[in-house]
Order: sequence, then C-alpha cells, then structure tokens
Amino acid sequence: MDLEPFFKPKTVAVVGASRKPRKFGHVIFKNFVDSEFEGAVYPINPEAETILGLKAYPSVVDVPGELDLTVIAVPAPKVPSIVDDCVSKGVKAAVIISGGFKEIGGEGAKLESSIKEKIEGSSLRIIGPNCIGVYDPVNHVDTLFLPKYRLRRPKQGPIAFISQSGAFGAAVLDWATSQEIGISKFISIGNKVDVDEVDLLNYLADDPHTKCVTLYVEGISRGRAFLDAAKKTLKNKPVVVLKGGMTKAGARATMSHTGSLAGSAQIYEGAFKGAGIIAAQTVDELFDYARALAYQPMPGSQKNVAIVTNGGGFGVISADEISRRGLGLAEFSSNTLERLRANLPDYAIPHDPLDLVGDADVERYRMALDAVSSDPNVGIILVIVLLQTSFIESDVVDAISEASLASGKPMVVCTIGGDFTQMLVKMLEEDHIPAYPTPGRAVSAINSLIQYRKVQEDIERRTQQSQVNSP
Amino acid sequence: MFALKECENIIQKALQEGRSSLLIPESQQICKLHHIPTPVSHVVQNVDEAATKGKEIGFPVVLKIISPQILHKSDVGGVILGIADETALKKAYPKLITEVNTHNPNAKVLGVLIEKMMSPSTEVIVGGIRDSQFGPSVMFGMGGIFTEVYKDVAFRVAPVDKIDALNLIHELRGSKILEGIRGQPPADINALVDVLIDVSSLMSQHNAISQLDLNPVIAYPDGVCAVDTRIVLAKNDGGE
Repeated sequence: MDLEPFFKPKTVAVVGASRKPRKFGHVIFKNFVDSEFEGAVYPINPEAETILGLKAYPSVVDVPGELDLTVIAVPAPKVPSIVDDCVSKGVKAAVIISGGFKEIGGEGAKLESSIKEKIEGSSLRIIGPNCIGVYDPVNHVDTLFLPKYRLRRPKQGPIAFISQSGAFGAAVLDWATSQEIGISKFISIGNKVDVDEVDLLNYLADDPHTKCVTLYVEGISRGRAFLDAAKKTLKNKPVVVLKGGMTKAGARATMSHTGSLAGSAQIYEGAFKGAGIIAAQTVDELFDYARALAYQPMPGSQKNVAIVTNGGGFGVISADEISRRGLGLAEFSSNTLERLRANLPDYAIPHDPLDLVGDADVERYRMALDAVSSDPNVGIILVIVLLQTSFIESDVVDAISEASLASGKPMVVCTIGGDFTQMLVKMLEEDHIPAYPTPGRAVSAINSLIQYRKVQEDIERRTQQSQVNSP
Repeated sequence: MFALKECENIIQKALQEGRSSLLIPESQQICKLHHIPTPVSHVVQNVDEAATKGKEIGFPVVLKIISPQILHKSDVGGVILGIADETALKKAYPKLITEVNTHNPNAKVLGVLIEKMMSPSTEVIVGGIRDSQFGPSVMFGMGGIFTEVYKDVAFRVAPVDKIDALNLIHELRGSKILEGIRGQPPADINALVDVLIDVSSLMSQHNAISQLDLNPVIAYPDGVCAVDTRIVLAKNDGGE
C-alpha cells in the first residue's frame, strides 16, 4: 500500500477552499499557496470563480489531469458525495478534516461507514475524518487548518509524530517549534476510517527523513498488526509510544487468577516491551526519549555513564537517578585519571560523578569531556552544566558538540535556568544535543537509549540464532 | 500433531457438555501433552483404589476433588494436602467427599485425583490469556505475596521465544529470588523458560482456551512442576 501521495503529492485539491479567511478550507488552501510547495494546487468551490487568484473548480472531477491528494474540509453530510467524486476521478489520497462522524455516534457513524464502503476496492486511501491531517516540512505539505500565527510549524528534523488526537498534536507541534525541535512528518489520524497507525508505521519504517517515530494513541485498532509493524520499524529506528487511557481498569471476566491480573494496561505494557517499543508515560517523556534517540548515536556494549558537572549537587542527584534505574556509573581508566589529575585543580576529585567544581570554565569542560569520552570504560556521557556562574560562556555548546562528534558516544545535557540557559538549550538542540531541565529526565532519556540498544541486541541475537538454525 | 488432536478432543468434549472450564485431570493432560511438567497423578473412584494408587505413587500425596461444578477447589474443602501414609489417606478420602458435599451439595463428583505431593521450593505463577486486542498472551509472576500484594507480574504477547521468556523473567522485581538468595540454590531458569514457551504455544494452538493458570509452578534447582492447573474455555468468558 502506497501512502506516498499523502506526503509527496504533485497535485493537490482543497475541497471547501473558501474566500472567507476564517474558514478551514481557506487556511489549508492558503498553506499550500503561500508555501514552497512545488506542485499544482486547485481550489474546489462550486460558488467561486477564483480563490487567492487561482481558478476554482466546481468538483474534483473537473480538475484537469491527475490528482494525487485531496483535502476535504466541508460539513460531514457533504463528504460522502465528495468521496464518490474522488473515487471516480481516481484520486490517490484524501485527508478528511471534517468532524461529525463516528465520534458523535448515530448519523455521524453512519456517514463514516458509508465512506468506508465507498473506498472499498478503490485505490483511494483516506486519512481521517475528524483530524488535522498531515504536515510534512520536507515536501511542504500542510493540511493543518490552524493559522500559522497560532500554530507555528516546526522546522524539518528527524522525529516523526503520529497523533490520534488533533488538538494534542497541534499543541505539541506549536511547543516543538518553540523548542527548536524538528519534525520529519506529522500525521493526525483522527477516526482512522482507513489509514491507521499500522499503515503509517510501516510507511515510516522506510522513510529516510525519519530517525525516530513517536506516537500518541488512545486505542490501537489492530493489535497484532501494530506489533508486527513496530518490530519491522525497530530494526531501523526506535518507536516511542505514549498510550492514553492506560489506567482504565480492564473489564474482563475473572475466572482465573491470570484474568484478574490482566488489566489492559498490563497487557499493553507487555506487548510493547515484547515488540521493543519504548513506552512513554508522560508527554515530557515522549519527546525526551525521542530527542535522545533521534539525535544521538546508540551506546555500544559499554553502557556505563560518566557524569561531568560543575555543580556537585546535580552530580550527586544524577548518580542517584542512575543507580535507581539499575544503570552503572563508570570506573575511569588509569589514563583518564592521570589526565584529569594533571589538568584539574587540586580541589577537584577525579571520579564519577566528575565534579569540575564551580569555577569550571569552557576549557576545563573541553579537557574533561575529551578525557572522559575517550575512556573505554565510559559508554554514555551526561554533561551537567549550570550556567549561572560567570566562568562559563556560550561556547560551552561548541565544546559539548565537538566532544559528542569526536567520541561517537551518546551525550546528553542537563541544565536548568532562565533566559541565558534557554538560549543555550536551543543552540544545543540545533546541534542535536538533547538537553533536559532535571537529572531525572536526563537519566530517563539515557535509559531510553540503553533500552533501544538492548532491543537491537535482542534483534541481533535472534538473527544469529536463525542463521545457526538454518544451515 | 497427534498430541494437538488429543488436546482439541478434550476441549471439544468439554464444550459439548456445556462446560466453561476443564476438569483438573483434563487440564493436567493438556499440560502434559504440551510438555509442561505436572505431578504424577491418577483418577480414582473409591478409597481402596486411592490406597493402591497412593502406594504406587509414593507418599506423601494430595487429593483433589473432580467436579464440573467446582472451579475453586480449595474454597469448598476440595483439596487435602500432605497425606503422609495409607492410614492418613483412608481418613482423608471420606473427609474430602463429606466436606465437598457439605459446602456444595449440588456438585456432581466425578472422582478424585490423587497425585504426588511435591516438595516445597520457590513458587511462581505462569498464566495464559486471550486478550481482545493482542490475542494469546503469557503471564509470569512471582508467587505468593509478590502476586497477591505487589502484583509483581508481567505479560508478553505470544509467540514467546527464549529471549522473550528470559526478558520476562528478569523484568520482575522479585526475580532475584530465582537467582538464589540467602544461600539457596538458584532455580532452574531454563525449565521456567520452557514452561513460558510451552504456554505460549498452547495458547496459540487452542483458540477455545481463554485463560490458563499454572498456579503455583514450583521451581527447583533442577526442573519445575506445575502443581495446580486451571483452564477456562472461551464459551463463558464475558470479558472477551
């Protein structure tokens, strides 16, 4: 199944394109007209001659030539006949923005099943209804009906984001933009009359622009297919899922002990773990993990963490967080110890967590990061840099980025503070160094790297076993 | 293939008789056919037969009531553990029948299962469940208060392979106990892994089974034994 026309259409029609600037159809149409989108875009409106200076067509069937993508933003009762038009025109993909379907029950549910019937056996694929659609900064596809001054669009980056909820998706995109977080693709899937999270995972598994897939889902319609798609994707890239509705008690007959213990949350947790999906419990975790996983290299077989800090307290708390999660601190090699002793002031003690003390400047960070990250006993580096002291300038970002690139080992930053800190956090983000405001969140992100590494190790072991078993 | 057919015959017979769960000898038989170790056992109809089989099995033994109306045997006095010798057995047998008749006069008793009393060791729970979302799934938990109080259990969706089974075991907070603490020898992890894999394939092969309990499975340094087995059929499973 080909979802390419949703993300790389050459021709787009917007049904419900209106001259009234507040109408959803108008905003969507304007997104395409104003953007660097390179294909042709057609407004569909039986009552208008032109919209934004472009010739309007009464129906998609009247558009000359092939149509790859149709965005539908008209009231629900009108949608089925437009779907008919799309099928007869041979449109490849449609995004139905309109609400008023299954989510309202009754008549809406009937409308939705009529759409499902209409596309059966046709080549038309549908995202939605009741969604905000697709945002693809690579190909400048933007079906979001929310104006750009309200919902800023994130730049291109390595994280794909699938959201069942449109409102949640929109809020996250706006927030991501403010944090300089880049997105490869955003898809709001709404009622999933056709395309669901399984189809999208399968598609994103092979998407060269996506290094990590994040999902917010409330219900998964095809459980086992989803796990299979996730397993396929996980061979190449991590999948992080925030599952809403986890605490709802499972309504299950309890004739067995197992039955009484098997709440839906427990089964989901086990299903995700078995597939190698990284489960996020909170919105913070979803992107905390995704940023580490998308930006940083995977740890090797050495997984011990070295902490480099200019604040003793944060170093100690981080060490606690590391041991609380069953992870290990590093035992520095004699080479590293020697180098640290030679270059650090007498009052700094060279062990992990490595406290560079309050008067540490960028040069001291540079030396320590180089020493620690080239140590074979160190697998992952947590850099804590508290920017309230006047010893540190913004070029500490360069020192961290350079050490990260030179070592090839995963590196994450923990820093908290006001405007100056936030500025540096954004600079780090641009260099693909994920920064977190607390030791707990930084160490959780490190843990997600280790989790995915273990998933990869399991995949490798299974491959080796199957090679042994099939001579 | 023959074993699979035999299991299906047992299940189909129960469904035809309108039962929503299997009798203990039936669930034991299905486990055996799927290579899950269970205690040596026999179905007996009277005290003399019980005495003969008791000597054959070797004491101590356990008696369990067999009745389609009784799913929770111990709640109605339908289980007597630790029967040390023939004299004790001859007292225990009529006591078992009387207890069950008192607690549940409508229960039809089809016989009594006499089985080898297994020596104590670390107890774990292995379960199977057919989830509406993900289908056949396997549960593993540490026994006793770890399950009852701490809910220290974890799940995997079938099929479960060796790597899955090991991850599942190590996921539990209480799994350190299996590695041997306070001078105890470690439990036979490989045998536990086999049980998890066997339950995974059992659940995958028999669609009519909705829930399965092996509770407890006793884990020894060499081998394991599922000393109680319960299999619930999909027919009356309101949750699915």
